[in-house]
Amino acid sequence: MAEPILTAEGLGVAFETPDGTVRAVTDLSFTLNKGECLGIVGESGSGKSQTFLAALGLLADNGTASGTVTFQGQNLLDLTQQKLNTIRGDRITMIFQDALTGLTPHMRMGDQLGEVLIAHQGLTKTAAPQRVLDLITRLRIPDPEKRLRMYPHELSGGMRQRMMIAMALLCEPDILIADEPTTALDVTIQAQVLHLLGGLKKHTKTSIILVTHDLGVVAGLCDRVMVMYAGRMVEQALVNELFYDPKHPYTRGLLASMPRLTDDVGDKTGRLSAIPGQPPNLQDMPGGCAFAPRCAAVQARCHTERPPLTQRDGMRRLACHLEGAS
Amino acid sequence: MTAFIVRRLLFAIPTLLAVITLSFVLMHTAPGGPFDIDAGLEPEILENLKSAYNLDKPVPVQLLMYIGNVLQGDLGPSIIRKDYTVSELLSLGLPVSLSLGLKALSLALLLGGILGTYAALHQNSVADYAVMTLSMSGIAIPSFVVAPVLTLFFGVYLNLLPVAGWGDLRHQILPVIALALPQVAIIARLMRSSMIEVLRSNYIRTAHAKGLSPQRIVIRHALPAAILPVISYLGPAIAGVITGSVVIEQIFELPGVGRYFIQGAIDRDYPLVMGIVIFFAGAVIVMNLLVDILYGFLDPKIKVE
Amino acid sequence: MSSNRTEITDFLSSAAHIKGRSLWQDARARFTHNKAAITGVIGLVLITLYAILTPFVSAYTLDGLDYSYIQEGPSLSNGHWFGTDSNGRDLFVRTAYGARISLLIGLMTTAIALSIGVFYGALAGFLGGRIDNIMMRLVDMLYALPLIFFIIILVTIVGRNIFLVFIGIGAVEWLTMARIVRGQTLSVKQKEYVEAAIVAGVSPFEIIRRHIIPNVIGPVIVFVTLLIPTNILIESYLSFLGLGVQEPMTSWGVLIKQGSNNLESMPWLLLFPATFLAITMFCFNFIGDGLRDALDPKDR
Repeated sequence: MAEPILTAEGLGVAFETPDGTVRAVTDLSFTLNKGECLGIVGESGSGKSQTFLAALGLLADNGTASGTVTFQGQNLLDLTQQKLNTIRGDRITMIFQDALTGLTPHMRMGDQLGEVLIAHQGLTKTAAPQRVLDLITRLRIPDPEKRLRMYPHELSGGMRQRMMIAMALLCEPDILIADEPTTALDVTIQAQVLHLLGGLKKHTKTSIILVTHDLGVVAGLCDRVMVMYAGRMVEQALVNELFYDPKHPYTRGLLASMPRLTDDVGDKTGRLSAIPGQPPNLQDMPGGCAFAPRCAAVQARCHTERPPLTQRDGMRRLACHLEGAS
Repeated sequence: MTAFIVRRLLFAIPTLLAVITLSFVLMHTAPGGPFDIDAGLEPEILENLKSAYNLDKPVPVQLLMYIGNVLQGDLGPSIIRKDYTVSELLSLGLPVSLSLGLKALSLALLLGGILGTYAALHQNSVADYAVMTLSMSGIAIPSFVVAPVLTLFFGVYLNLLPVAGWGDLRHQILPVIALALPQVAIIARLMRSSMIEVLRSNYIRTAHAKGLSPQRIVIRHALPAAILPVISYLGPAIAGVITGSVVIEQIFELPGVGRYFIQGAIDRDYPLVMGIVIFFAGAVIVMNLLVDILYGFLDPKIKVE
Repeated sequence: MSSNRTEITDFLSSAAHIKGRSLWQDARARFTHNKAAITGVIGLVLITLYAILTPFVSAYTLDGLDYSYIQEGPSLSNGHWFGTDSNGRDLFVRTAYGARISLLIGLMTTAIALSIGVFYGALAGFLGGRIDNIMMRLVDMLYALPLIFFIIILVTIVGRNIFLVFIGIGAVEWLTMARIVRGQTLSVKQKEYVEAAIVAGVSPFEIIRRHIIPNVIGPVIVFVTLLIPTNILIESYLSFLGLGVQEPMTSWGVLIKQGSNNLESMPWLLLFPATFLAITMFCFNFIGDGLRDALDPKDR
């Protein structure tokens, strides 16, 4: 079952800014298995989005990626834009947080979806609309013909995000990367979008990478979770292991800051607990563990010695000096 | 959309009336008049002349009479060129000015658009710096400096093109270039910066993530948005071309409206000056209206309203 | 409750710690790191010094005729560095006098446009509602016109006089200024501190002076540095047409006109004034762009 489809080794992402180099991602290694849903969790600025933008060659002009990201035997980071264009949008697709700014404002939805088929499957301009309509209908989007004639700003937020997901599914990709797909949406619409992704996971062989800061979304959808902090992986485990037995103090902090109906994690006043302090400045990283300044269980060596990422029991990997912390 | 056009047309009427009033009052309240040059005129003849052109009446009355005539399509006779009506003079000068202005504007749009887009797509390359330098120079060096230099080079030294006068297409090349250059510079700059901004937007990233070809991304996804600031600039561009044509017509001795205007203003040929102001104000208003409509077509968010 | 207060205090002090440099310090740092902008400042200082000092130190005067050197090209040996015209007048001195007039006109007209535009825009934005609507409609209306025609009518018919050139240019170039100031004023007006001042009964004039003007100053400075060269250009344009500055006074436009009439026989007559004009345009535009980048970094 665990057959890797995407493997990252020693991935680094750095940005040159007027104030110096910013290391958004450092020495990141992970695998994604076929048919799996992998959740990537972290605060904004933890490097979770940049990881996948780098893999698809979508970094901003001042960004560079190092290491390897292997897909079908090729290192994606080495490919020319032209070669990448045969993979992205076809075998690997990505959807973004903000579907309003993420869709071209002056193109009708039908054209924006159709051009994917024209580019990757060689469909003609006349054949593409029918295929688009078929898929949209299958996704149970009401009144599909009318919706495809609309411009992005004429659609509701949830509908836009569903259109964006539809756009990513047209070519039945091997991997779908969803970057904060529900963050900008109302709760009820979030549910619709999650339902759509859930159905996708159940009924197709597509592997999903779900980038989010919302642990609730991860719990409902993912098989495995990777937690990132300040550009590095700090913990990785199967979703149940992580939720019932978080090891890294940062993971525990994240779980404690989640609102629940039956609150047994936060303090007794029923208030949500927050992780004190702020994520470190990526230009000026502390020598030891990046989380040490905010860590409740910090030890002396945490400030000087960065804990290595090591394999623990089962599927778990952890980067923390607190051995077997519970 | 129709309501929008009607509203804009209705707005144009008070604008034109304001223009007429402003320039009319400005001219007629100033001391002196069109007959000052004939200093030796008998007072009675002068009075007769003045009353023939209604110049003896109070300015508000003159203004109302003038507006009444204009509404009937009568721009009046020229005071100085006594054999011509203003409409006749306009119909003589307009073909020259229009052909010059439209060619310069098209050249500016085409060349400025291409240069700006190219520079944006090759940001920080040698070509980009070249375009930016050219564009800065085009803004810094006025057309009345460029025009004589062009004339000297292509007309006198190389003897390739005529230096003055109006005739076949060869007569138009230098004036059109001199008139277009400042606008090429501004449009190239505008296009470059708006294209760079659009290329950084989220939907361009989405388009790349879809695996589309760079050509398709630029033409279909980026260009329609990036061109919007250039479209909005069309109104000021027209005004700029009209302004420039006045001096260009002077330099190349072209029989256009601009020369009539300057001469008319100096001679205090009130009806001629008024006629030209009305015409150009009307042209700019109409162009601005067209620009708004064009904008609506390119930006679907406006079309819906 | 008291623990909550300490938390807030902690938060505020940590926020203050993060903030560090002020907006203006930041802007100044960005501006001084902009090579083009600094070049522009140096260039302008040099041109200004040239314009002010030359008439005092030169052996020649604005309309002094040197019969031994008529229609001479630029030469270091005979003292006419920029050459002479067909009357034997020294171009180096004349260009400096032209610079005085052109720079002065650029500054004066911009000052007029600035006063009108800021007053009009701030008033419209501050009063808001119907009055704002009417005032800005008027601006829209004027915007739609080729305003150079009004300047031409003004200077030809009312009188060819340098003060009319000032007023004429200043009176039509305030429109954009008014729009900028009004837009900024509207957005500042909705800020809490201005609402607080209104509630506290501070007079409208005082609110405009104390709260609105300091906030609109950034965009206005940028626009002013770009308006000065525009107005210098308009004056040159008028003078080129023979409608601006009149002999014996001179300006770059007047000199360019003379130069272009004698381009074949005396190319230096066009070269020097035109180069000075172009360099001045470059300098102001570099400074303007530099200020824009410095004051509004998101616009880069």
